[in-house]
Amino acid sequence: MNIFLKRIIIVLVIIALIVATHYLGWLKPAENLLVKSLSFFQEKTHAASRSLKSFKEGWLIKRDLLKENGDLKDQLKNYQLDQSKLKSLAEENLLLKKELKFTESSGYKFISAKIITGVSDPLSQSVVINRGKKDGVVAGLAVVAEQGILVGKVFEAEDGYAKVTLLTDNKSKVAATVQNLTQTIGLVEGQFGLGLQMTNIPQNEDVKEGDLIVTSGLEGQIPKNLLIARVENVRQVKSEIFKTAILSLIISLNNLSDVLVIIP
Amino acid sequence: MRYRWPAFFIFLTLILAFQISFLANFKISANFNLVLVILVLFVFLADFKKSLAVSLWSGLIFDLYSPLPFGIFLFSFAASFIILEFLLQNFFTNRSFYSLIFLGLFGAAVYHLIFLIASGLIYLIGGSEFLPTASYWYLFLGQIVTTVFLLAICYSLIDKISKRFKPMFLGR
Repeated sequence: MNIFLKRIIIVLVIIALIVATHYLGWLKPAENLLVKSLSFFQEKTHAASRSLKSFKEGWLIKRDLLKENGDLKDQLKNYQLDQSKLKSLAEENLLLKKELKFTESSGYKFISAKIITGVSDPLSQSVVINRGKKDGVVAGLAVVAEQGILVGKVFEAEDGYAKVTLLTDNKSKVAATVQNLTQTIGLVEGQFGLGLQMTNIPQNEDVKEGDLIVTSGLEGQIPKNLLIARVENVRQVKSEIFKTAILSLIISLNNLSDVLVIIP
Repeated sequence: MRYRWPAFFIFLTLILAFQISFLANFKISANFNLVLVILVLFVFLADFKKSLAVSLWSGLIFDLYSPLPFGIFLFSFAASFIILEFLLQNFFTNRSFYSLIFLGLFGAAVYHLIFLIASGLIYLIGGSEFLPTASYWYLFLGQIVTTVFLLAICYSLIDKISKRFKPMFLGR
């Protein structure tokens, strides 16, 4: 018989014997012993594989979380940008609504204008608006914001734009009235960008903190009763003819964006 | 030298345990069938008895930890060994690098085919629930590639430290 065939038969016989002894249960003690003696090593290797698996899973989770975190950060950034846009649109909307309400109720003729920029002189409290002579804007007209609060006067108008002196500019002077019983008149002057004061108030006039200051209408191009400021305190020196009221602005002039020019 | 063979069997047993309880747990490492590599190396280098002992021992241990009916791995390893032995005796008679590589290639393919046939037959007679899925075919291809790769590394290492791979004809 071919030696190779003989070997195949031997192998098959051995396999048959092992399988038979296994199913007969004769191999059980040896199998148990083998499994038992390997259990320590297998326990360790299996534990190592488990920890490696959990490390890998942990790493994958961490990687996913980092990616998710990055995506969420980007989303948050976009939402913040959207929110900022929305906020500025809401503010603009509110402002325009207020202006609309004022223009409808006051009966004045208005030109709506946007503030383009400040002026090149840093000491001056002035702005440039996008309306000029072509739109009917001339020097001396009142410029108001929101619900008709006076913010300044046009001092120079060009064809397509005009320069506006804000109330806080030291060159700004507006004839005004205190809304008290005697309708005290005076002159509201700017204080080098720091604030406002009302001068030329006769000593005998009763002006107190909280009184509102409005335009007097004595200047031809500025209508009467436009709100200017509120009295913060009154400075009085007995030896002087006039007293001075320190005023606080109703609105901040630093972040104006849309204004109205009143055409008399 | 007396303890060399028992020591090797302990080492082989530990390799088998490592294969079962560590390598088989990961998708990537499951592609490394160290036992198959050892069997091919034994067929290539050792005599019939030792190689047969390695194949039977490997099959026995695999069967002990297998959910499949006892004997499938035993038969698969032993039958693969017989076929490899036949190929070595009749075709790859020199101990060249290419012989080892082809033997590894055939070894891995034959082992899986025999395993599939054996488990398929057992499935047909209702003895097991094993049916190869897509992942099995990936494992099949993966083990062929890694077996060849590991054998190439083993050949280079053995060639550096031993003269066993120097050109010669087998005198069996």
